[in-house]
Amino acid sequence: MNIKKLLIEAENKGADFSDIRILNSESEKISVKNDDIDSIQKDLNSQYGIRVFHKGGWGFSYGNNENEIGKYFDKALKMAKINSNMLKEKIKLKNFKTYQDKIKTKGESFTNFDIKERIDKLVNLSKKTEHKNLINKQIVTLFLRKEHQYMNNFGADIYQESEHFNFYFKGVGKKDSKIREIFTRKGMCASYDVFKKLDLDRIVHEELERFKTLFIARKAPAGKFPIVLNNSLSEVFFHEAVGHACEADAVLKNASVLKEKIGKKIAPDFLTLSDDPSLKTSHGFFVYDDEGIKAKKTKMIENGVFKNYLQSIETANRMNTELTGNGRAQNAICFPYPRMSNTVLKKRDFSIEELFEGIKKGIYAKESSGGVVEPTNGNFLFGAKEGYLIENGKITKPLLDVSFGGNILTILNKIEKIADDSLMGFPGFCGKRGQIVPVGGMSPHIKISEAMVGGDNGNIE
Amino acid sequence: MEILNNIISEGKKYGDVIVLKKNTNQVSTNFSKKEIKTTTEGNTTQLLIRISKDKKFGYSTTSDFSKWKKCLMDAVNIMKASKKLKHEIVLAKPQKFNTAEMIYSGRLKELPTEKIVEKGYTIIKEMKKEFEIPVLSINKSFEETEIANSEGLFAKEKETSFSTMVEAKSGEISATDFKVSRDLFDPVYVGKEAEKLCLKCLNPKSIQTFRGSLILDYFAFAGFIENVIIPAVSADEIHSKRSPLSNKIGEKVFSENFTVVDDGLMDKGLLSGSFDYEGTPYQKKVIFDKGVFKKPLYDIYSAKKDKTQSTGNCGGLDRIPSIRPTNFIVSPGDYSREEIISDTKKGTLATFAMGYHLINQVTGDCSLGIENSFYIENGELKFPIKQAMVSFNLFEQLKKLEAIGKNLRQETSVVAPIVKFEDVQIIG
Repeated sequence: MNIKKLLIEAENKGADFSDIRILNSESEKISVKNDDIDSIQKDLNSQYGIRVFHKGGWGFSYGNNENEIGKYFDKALKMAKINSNMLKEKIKLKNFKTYQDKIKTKGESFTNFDIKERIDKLVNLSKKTEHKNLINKQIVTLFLRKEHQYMNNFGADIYQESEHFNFYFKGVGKKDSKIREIFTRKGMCASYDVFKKLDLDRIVHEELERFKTLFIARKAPAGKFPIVLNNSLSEVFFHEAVGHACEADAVLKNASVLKEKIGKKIAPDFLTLSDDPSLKTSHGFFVYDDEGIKAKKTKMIENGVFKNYLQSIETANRMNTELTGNGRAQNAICFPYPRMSNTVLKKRDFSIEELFEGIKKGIYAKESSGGVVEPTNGNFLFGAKEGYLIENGKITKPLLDVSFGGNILTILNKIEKIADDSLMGFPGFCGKRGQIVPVGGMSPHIKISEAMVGGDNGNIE
Repeated sequence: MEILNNIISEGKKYGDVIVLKKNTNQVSTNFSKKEIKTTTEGNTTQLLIRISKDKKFGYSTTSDFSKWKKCLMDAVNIMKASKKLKHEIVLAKPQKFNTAEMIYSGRLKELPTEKIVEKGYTIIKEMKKEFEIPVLSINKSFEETEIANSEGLFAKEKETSFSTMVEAKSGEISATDFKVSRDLFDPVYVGKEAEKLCLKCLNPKSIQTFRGSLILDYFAFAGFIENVIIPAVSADEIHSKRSPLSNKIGEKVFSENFTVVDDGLMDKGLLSGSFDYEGTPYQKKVIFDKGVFKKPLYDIYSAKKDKTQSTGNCGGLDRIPSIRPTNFIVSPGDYSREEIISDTKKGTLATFAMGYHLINQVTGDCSLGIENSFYIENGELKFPIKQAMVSFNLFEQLKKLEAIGKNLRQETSVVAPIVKFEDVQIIG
């Protein structure tokens, strides 16, 4: 199939811009529950996604059949024409810099090794996973290899390979009548040999140790308190609370509280926040985005001043600004939108201990159990897997199911201190507009002077 | 059919075979005043093959029909490399299937793309000028499924669905409405509903933390059912003791006002059809009868563990077991929405909740945000609330559930009324 010819043909038939994404992927999932195989699956996927821009409207067509690529082009053009016929305002898509490149994965691919190796490894690990409270255990590995081709009629031609792996451990523990759950995950954009070097045994056993505190933990108090967030929770906090509102599609739709904030002071002087897809092996790593644009570090907030939104081709064009290489799609049959990669908060001078100083009653929250945001009004909510009461500057009693809420613009100015530690955060899967993409980040501990805590009783005992 | 026959006859050499083939056609249009309009048409295909023999299984999928031989051999090789399970994997026997009525609409399938885009414009035209519309999407889909196994089972079915989502926004206040149906409906209605809700939410006020009633509107309540109750009644979760309902079959666990049936044969049901992923017929069964936990949702493998029959709730071939609901219907109560509100001394009405994934599924402890919510005092909606969180234990609330609305709605697998919880921590 001569793709270049099809791109030229589409142009001759009226496409102002057209691009094609071809994705061939191979994935494998193994799940072992209580030493037995629970799920085992392999998937071979071929996808073709074609976009056409015609006089202000997008047409997008996709499918799984290589022989029908020509038809997909025709359909995408037809859809774009239906759109533009009804449009009053016919926006033009400006030309942009394109790249030609070939990115190959280094290291070993899981696809070259027998699945039996991984099945045996997981079953053995499961058998070794024991704890007096443990009544149920599940261990899962996911491997994904992608070979992605991107071309457009402006001249882009990029071939990009990538491999991701994820490892999960989930356990249920019981003590007397109390049931508690533990969960941990490791995920990287890296090859099979990196996975093989992971000390899975240690990851699992560190998580099992958490039962100790979980069984004596009490419910979190409700109300407004100062909170200290550890690295991974702080990263999720910035991803949810700030990152989503920086995505330019939300801004253009007037669905972001960060609209018209460029150049304005929205956070304390000591706060600098970036999006950085270039962190090697991170969960949110990529070289070119799904629109063939070279990915780079983008400052969202610098010394408290709001700097940049995260852009796709369409949004940068509408905002008349630079491309940032954040046009991402879950796969070739999904339309690319502005998305984060790795959210990185710059570290500062306080030691972790100094963050607790002066807190009479507060909460120390560790490790994320997920978060959510409504970028339109800036309200967000996120949960911690592990929480502790802070009393007179000291960590005291463990807490259960701590969740926090707040509003972006209010809470940013309540960040009092940023610590001097910085660790790779939680490998996340971020969902937006029905698409899921891998994300990550790096962040130090932070102290927020006041946040809404959703607990069960109004008084701290 | 030919490809299924080929896979079965080739796969039989290695073990028991089950194969599913899906073709999906999806047309959608997404636009708003502030975004370039996108109209999409996609045709996707999927082939799912599972091979099993001597308590071992292998599963493989592909989107490329021309790779069926490789896909089949992948499944065979996985099976060979795999470990033995405790029980044998059994195939469904060939049989006649009942089917739900009105899950396929010819006029919807044939609806031209131009008409769908036009409907989007009509929504915008009919909404008041002062509203912004950050989200407007209309989707139609058509799906054909064929299933066959090496016991001689063969069945197929086709279904359609139509959905519309509109977000109306004024200043910093926004509200969304969403509707799904098996057949065409007038999407203008969805825009109007979003607009109505947004108007009600203008000029919100902050509240102080208090304990009071929490009225959950359809979307908010359906979210709790979907994220907590459905996993809790799935046999898999029960067997692995993650479900708080483990060892509770036949016991009264919730209020006697709480009755739920799971019915895959409900006419017009969004999750209705004739058969599940293993070819077991869809059926109607009582899950909670007046608060008594009657039956978990089973697929063939999980049913075997309990020496019973599959309830037709296999939701995939990737896991052993893999369970999902069909139409999960919470029985209505006696009260109108107005009666539930007017009977509330002090509390809130929540249209949506956010953060379901933060709920502790084992203990039922919930602590999450509410959106498009209103403060209620002395039986009246007083004002919209700026931002609030709620905190309660879902299982304890369902034990004392009294006020249940009399009207049902379905936009997901959950068919539900509105409900009222008492003595909830509401955090402002």
